[in-house]
Formats: sequence, structure tokens, C-alpha cells
Amino acid sequence: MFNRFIWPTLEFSELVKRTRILIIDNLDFEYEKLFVDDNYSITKWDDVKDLPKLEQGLFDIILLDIQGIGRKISDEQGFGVLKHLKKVNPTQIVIAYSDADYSLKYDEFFKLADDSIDKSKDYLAFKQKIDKFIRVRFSLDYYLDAVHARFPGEIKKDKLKKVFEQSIKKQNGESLRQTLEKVGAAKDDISFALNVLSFVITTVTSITGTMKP
Amino acid sequence: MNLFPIWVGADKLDGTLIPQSDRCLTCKTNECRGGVSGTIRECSYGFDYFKVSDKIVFGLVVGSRGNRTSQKSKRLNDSLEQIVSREIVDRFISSEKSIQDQFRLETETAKEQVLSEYTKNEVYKKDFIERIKKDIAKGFSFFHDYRQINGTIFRNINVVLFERTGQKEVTEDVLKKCSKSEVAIYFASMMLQEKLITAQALQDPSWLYRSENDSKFRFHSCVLKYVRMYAPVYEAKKLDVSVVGHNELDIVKNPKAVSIIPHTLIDNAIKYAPEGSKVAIRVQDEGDTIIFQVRSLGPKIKNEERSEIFLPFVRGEAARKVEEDGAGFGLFVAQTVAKEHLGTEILVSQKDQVTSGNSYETEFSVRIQSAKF
Repeated sequence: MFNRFIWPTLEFSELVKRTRILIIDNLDFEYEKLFVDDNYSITKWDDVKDLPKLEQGLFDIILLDIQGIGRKISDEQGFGVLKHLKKVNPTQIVIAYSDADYSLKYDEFFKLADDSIDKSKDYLAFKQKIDKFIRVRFSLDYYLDAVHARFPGEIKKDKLKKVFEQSIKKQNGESLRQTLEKVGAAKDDISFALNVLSFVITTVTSITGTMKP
Repeated sequence: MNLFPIWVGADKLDGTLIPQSDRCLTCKTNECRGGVSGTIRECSYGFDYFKVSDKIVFGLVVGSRGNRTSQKSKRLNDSLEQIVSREIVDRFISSEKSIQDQFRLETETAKEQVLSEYTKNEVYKKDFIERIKKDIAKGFSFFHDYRQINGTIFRNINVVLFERTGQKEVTEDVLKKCSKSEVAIYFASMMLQEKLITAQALQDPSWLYRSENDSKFRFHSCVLKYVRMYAPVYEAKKLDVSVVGHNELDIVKNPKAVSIIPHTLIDNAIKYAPEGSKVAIRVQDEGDTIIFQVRSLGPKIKNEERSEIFLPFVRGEAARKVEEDGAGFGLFVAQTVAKEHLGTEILVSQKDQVTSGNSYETEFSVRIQSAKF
């Protein structure tokens, strides 16, 4: 009982303050001031100003437009940026944010994103969507699901959760590695799981402030 | 069958009563081809020719024709088999004209009938639209720009309302604190947004059926949203709009798509209801289904128009008189959503007797399967 890891919880208002939200859109984001007034940490880019920052996962939630941005990175604009981000950092939360949410040609964009929001929505709808992903960002299940999706047949989710929790507690990925090797997981998948674990440990320590020296 | 020799295209044919003369068979000038209606002319070889309807008759020697030339006189003597009396020729001309007139009349009548039938049931619009669908889609591509512009208006008016009231959710109380112009912009932008959603469903309906867009929602809430949105419009028309019924069952479908149904039916009712009349909306759970009805006074829908009003760009004759500017795709899109997305159908019924002025009590209804099913 004593050794069991318990996911740290914070007041939602505290999570709001800690969540770094990035809007990438070549047009104005009119609700920015309203979010700031409500203590959200919002950054607005007119284009992808600093790709390495995105790759490193410096933002917790990204609202990404599909059109008019990322032209220097990809001919596919926002979709190209999203594909790149999900490749280098699969657990990066990206909300597709667009006027063009109907046409089938954007289907892949919306499927690859974690969720989508219509630009024509009111502030409350935006806030609800952001709040949903703030909770997701600071929950273990989101990361567990992402890892488990790599080897759904090899290991049960409960077992994976247990190993994950132990690894977070120890702040060490060795037992996760051994478990995954035992079930015959591919090297790339193990590497992915360890990266996610490392990110989760950082999240936990940032919440609890208990990082080992 | 031709009694006399005639021209058919570039060929000369014998008549059954009178064949071609030897001279005609070897004639190189063929001046008879220039025959005109109403005149019997004589060629340089002394043979008569004329045109009746679309036929050119030649090679005759019309017996009682006056002003004979020497050639003609010669023919009367050496071409006896070509001689025909004026009376027979006149009768032939009269008969040909009559046949031609009759044919023309029958053709015109038949053409009119086909055309009238085709345009009356407005099927041609469907045929037409199928052929120009791609062009329509191209034409609708500006919707994206409209949505973008309207999105900017909508977000900005939201910010304006928040700044004025300090409230971040637009409620009735918030709107009461705003100016008339601000409220008008807010609702106009919302209505345009919904109209553009319907128009985009016409342009590219594929998004209606994507199951990943499905979510659980209460139909009653959708209805209230539109009733609230249309309040400035129906208040200006002094309409008495009521919403009754009890709905606790949820639907698990694409809310944006399903919303097109209440939006269209409420929009239609408010648009066509005469000033000061009633619009009764009912949302009621019945077993595992939800019944949605909109009853109002509206223009006459002829029996043959009942199903046609759900065709694209088709509007009832009386509806066109009441509201000339409607495009006529709302009901088509709503019915498409009902059939393709919900597996049901919007029905329309109307009382035969006029209720008030030129208006008839009309009811649009749809039965929707709930998530419980």
C-alpha cells in the first residue's frame, strides 16, 4: 500500500496557470485577452516561428490552423506541421483549429489531431475545449493510452499502468524497458515508451516539485 | 407517297401519278430547285414547278395555267403524260398544306406537353444539378471565405459583449445590457454561421456522415438554440412562438449535421408565417424516439409539390410568391440529413382549407431514433 504511486493532483486553477498554450494562426486570435484575463498562459504565433521549441514539447497544448501557416516547413502547411510534430513528439497535444472543418480533403488533418475546434465558436466553447485538454495533459491515462496503442496485444493496460507507476515513482525507466523487452516489443516502440515515461516523470516532478537531485 | 415528281435532298424522284419526263431526267440546269411556295413557275424547258410545304414538285405541265410560252405549248403537245389539271394541282397543294399544318400543330402540342410536364414537376432541376454539380461546388468555394469573415465578426462581437458586460458567457441577461446594434450583429452573425453550415452541407455532404464527429446531445437544446437565435426576427414579425413537449432522450449523432433539421424547419416557419400568427414547436419523447414538429401557417403546398419541395432549389409556387429570394436548398439538405444520417424522413402535412388570408396550417415533422435504442 505504502509503495503505491499516487498521481499528484493540483487545483484546476493551478493547472491552468502551468499549462503553456500556443496558438499558431496567421490571423488574429480575438479571445487571447479573455484567456489571459482568466489566467491562462497563451502565446500567439502568426506562423511557426521556432520549430525546435515545438519539437521539444515546450508547449502543452497547441491550437494549430491548417491554412496560411507553416509554408516554409511544408507544402501541406498546417497539416505538414502537424504530421511532423506527431512524428517527433506523438504525445504533443494538438487541437486542429480551423474554418475549414468540413471538406473531406482535411479529414486526415482532423483525424491526426487530438481534437478540433471551429474558429467560429464562442469564447466559452474554446475555453471548454482547452480545459478538457489541460486535464488530459496532466493525467496519466492520456500517456498510457498513447504507449499502449503501440503494443495492445503484447501487454494488458493494467499491467502497463502498474509498471509505469513504479517507474515514475523510481524516476527510472529500467523496469519498463525490461517488461517491454520480455513481451517482445519492438525497439522503436520501447524507445517511444521510455521517452513518454521521461516526459511523464518531468510532468509529475513539475507538479510535485520532488525531482531527485 | 408522292403523286408528282419531287426533289428529295439532291435526288429527283418519280411521282406515282406522274413520273419524271425524259427531259427532266437529263436536265443539267435544275432551275426547278429554286421553287418557291405559292407560285407555279415554268422552267426554260416548259415544265411547271412549285414548292409546297417542304416539297419541291417539278416536271408537270399544268393544263389550265395561262400565259403559255412557246416551250410550254410545245410540251402540251409532246409530253402528254406530264399534263395535269390545275384543279388536281390545287387540291394537292391544299392537301399538302393541311398535312403540314396538322403535323406542325401536333409537334408543337406534343413539345409543349413534354416541356410543361418536365418543368412542372421540376425534375429538370435535379437532372440539371446532377450535371452541373461540380460547377456548383466550385461556385460554393467562396463559402470558406464567408465563414472566415463571419468567424472574425462573431469572435469580435463576442469580445465586445464581454468587454461591455464583463461576462464571458452570452446569456439573455448579458444581451439586455448591450445595445440594440450589438445584439443585432451578434444574432445576425450566428444566423449567417448556421446558414453557411447548411450551404456547406449542400456543397460537400461527406462530413455529415463521419462517425468520429458523433457525440451525445439533447435535441431539445438544439431547438432552443434556434428559437433563441431567431427571437429578433420573430419578435419583429410579432409571431407567437412556443416550444412544448418533454425531451430527456439523447441522440448520438453529429450535432452540427442534425441541427440543420431544427434550424431549417424553424427558419422556414418563421419566414413564411404571416405577421402576428403562431408557430408551435414540439419536441416530445415517444418510446425510444423523439418527435419534432413545427406547426405554423404557411403558403399553399400543392399535393404534387409535397415531395418536390425537398428537391434541391425547388420551392412551392405559393412560397415563391411569398418570399421571392429563397434559394430552396434548406429543406433538401435537412431531408438529406434526416435520410442519410438519421435513417428517417421529414414529413409535411397541410390542411386543405385556408386558415387565414392565403395561409394554410402546415406541419413539418420528423421522428428521430434516440441513443437508447
